Amino acid sequence: MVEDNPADVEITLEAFRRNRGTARVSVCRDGEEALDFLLHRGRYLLGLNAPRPDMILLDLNLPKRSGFEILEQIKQHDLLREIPVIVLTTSDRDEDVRRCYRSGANNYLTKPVRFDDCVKLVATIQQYWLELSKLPPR
Amino acid sequence: MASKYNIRVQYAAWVAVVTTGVVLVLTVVHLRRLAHDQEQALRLFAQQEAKSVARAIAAPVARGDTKELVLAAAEAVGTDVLHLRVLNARGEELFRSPQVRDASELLMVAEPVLTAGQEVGKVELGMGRGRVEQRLWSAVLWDLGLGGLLLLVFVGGSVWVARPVANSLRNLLEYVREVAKGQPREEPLDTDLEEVDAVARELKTLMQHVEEARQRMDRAQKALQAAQKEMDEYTYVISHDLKEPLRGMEAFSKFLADGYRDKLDEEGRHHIDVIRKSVLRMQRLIEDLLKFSRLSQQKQPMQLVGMNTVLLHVRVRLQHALDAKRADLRVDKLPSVVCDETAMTEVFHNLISNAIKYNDKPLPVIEVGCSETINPDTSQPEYEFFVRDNGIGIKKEYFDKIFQIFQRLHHGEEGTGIGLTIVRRVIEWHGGRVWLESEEGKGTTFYFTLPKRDVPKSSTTFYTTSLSEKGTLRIETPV
Repeated sequence: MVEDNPADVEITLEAFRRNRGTARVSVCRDGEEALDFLLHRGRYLLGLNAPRPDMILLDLNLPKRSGFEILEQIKQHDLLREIPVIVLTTSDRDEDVRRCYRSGANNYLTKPVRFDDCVKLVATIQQYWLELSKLPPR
Repeated sequence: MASKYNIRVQYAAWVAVVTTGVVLVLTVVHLRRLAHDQEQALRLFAQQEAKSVARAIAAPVARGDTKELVLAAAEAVGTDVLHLRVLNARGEELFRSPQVRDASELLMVAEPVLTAGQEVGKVELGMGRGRVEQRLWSAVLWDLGLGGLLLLVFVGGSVWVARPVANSLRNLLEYVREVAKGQPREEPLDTDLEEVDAVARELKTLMQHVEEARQRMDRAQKALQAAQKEMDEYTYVISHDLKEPLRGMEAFSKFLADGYRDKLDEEGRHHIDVIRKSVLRMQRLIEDLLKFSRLSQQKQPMQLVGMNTVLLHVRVRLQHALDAKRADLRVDKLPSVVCDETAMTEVFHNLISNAIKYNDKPLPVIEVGCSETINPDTSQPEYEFFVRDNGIGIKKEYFDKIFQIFQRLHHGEEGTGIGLTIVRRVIEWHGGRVWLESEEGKGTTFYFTLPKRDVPKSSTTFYTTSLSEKGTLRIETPV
């Protein structure tokens, strides 16, 4: 999960918890860190603390590097492009939605304001992406 | 002068009237003088004639010889003498010519008959006026002929004088028409009159000023539109940024309420409930603000939209509320109008949902209809829609306030008070007006107008949206 707002991080994690999710979630706090995590650079140099994710939850509004940039980098990278990227953001602007799908986002979801809706959304993500969908093999 | 003839006719008419008047006055004066002179001359002539008759008949009168007298008189009188009477010294009539004409028509003179300085009789002589009359008639003919000639010359002259003015004015009119059409000729106007050219020059300068003013207005309008767009963008961004902390407040107050309710006392639980309610209200406000700015941000291209279809969509969306209040939504046959379909749907949705919500009658009735009118300001044709209800009505003093953002008249109801703001915004950007009539307790009618536009050529629709009769299925087909 790429998310800079600690409250949002906790909300999403709590939503996973309430769904009795078994997913292991790693959190990157900005775009730069996300790239380091994926490419095993900087503090993730050895890659021990940075397993290759099955799925990426990406916020768009991030410090240092925006979510769009991360998305483009991932989708242009030979090895990373196959990882499904789900954009999870507050923006519902047509241009943002369009830009993300054009850059190769696999899904675009807006963050619900109410926590109950958040729990439902996470349940849906779990069910669709982690249970029903066949993900690329490791 | 109230008449509206062209300058030539006006000139000619004036000159004709004045000339005719002058000619008539001069003719009358001339004739009176002539008549007087002729009368004098005739009288002199008659006296001379009488004198010569008196001389010729002196001897016969003295003798009292009537026969001789007649012969002598006949020889002496001229042709114009129409009456002759001779008296002797005692006043007895010696001779009288037969009456041929009324004496009043004749010029009468009397002359004593003298023999060696002694008056022996008297001769009376009447002269015919035939020659005078003839003279006068010929004078009348001459005067009037001359007057008529003068009239012709003057009227012709006036038309000739008016010609350059008339021509110049006609050219000026043509020029003004070109200017009014916005396509004045390049070269300056060149007419027979300097003054008219000057008028044309001033007109051109004036038009330049008008054009400059129009451009200034255009610029100001564009700036205003840009500012408005920026404002909408700003609203959008801010509302989004506000959403983020709101999510935290919502989630964490919920965590508190869910996980710590037992550990709090009554007052603490109440505080948390107030926080939760405030958060929900804040959320609604932000959502509405977003909806409001999104409507103006994401304008759809204007296209021909069947309003009955729009109303069908609205009915589907409001079916639940209609059923709950047993409200009857009656929709007349509505025209197709060039507009933004999403926005117009929002307009009807807001008006009708208000009509349902603020209704205390057992059987609420909501009517929607339309008529064609003419805009009183622009004289352009437009559609006038109305949404009428038999609800609680609105006080006149609130007519303006209800259109302001987040203004509500009723507490405790759901809703943030943005619906009518959206209505007004949408109608105004379509170039229409919105107003209402209302009576408390009886109901409210909202009116709005949409200008009649031509169907845009360039933006043929990408999708045709249709709805089945029951209004349950929405099919979008790429064209």
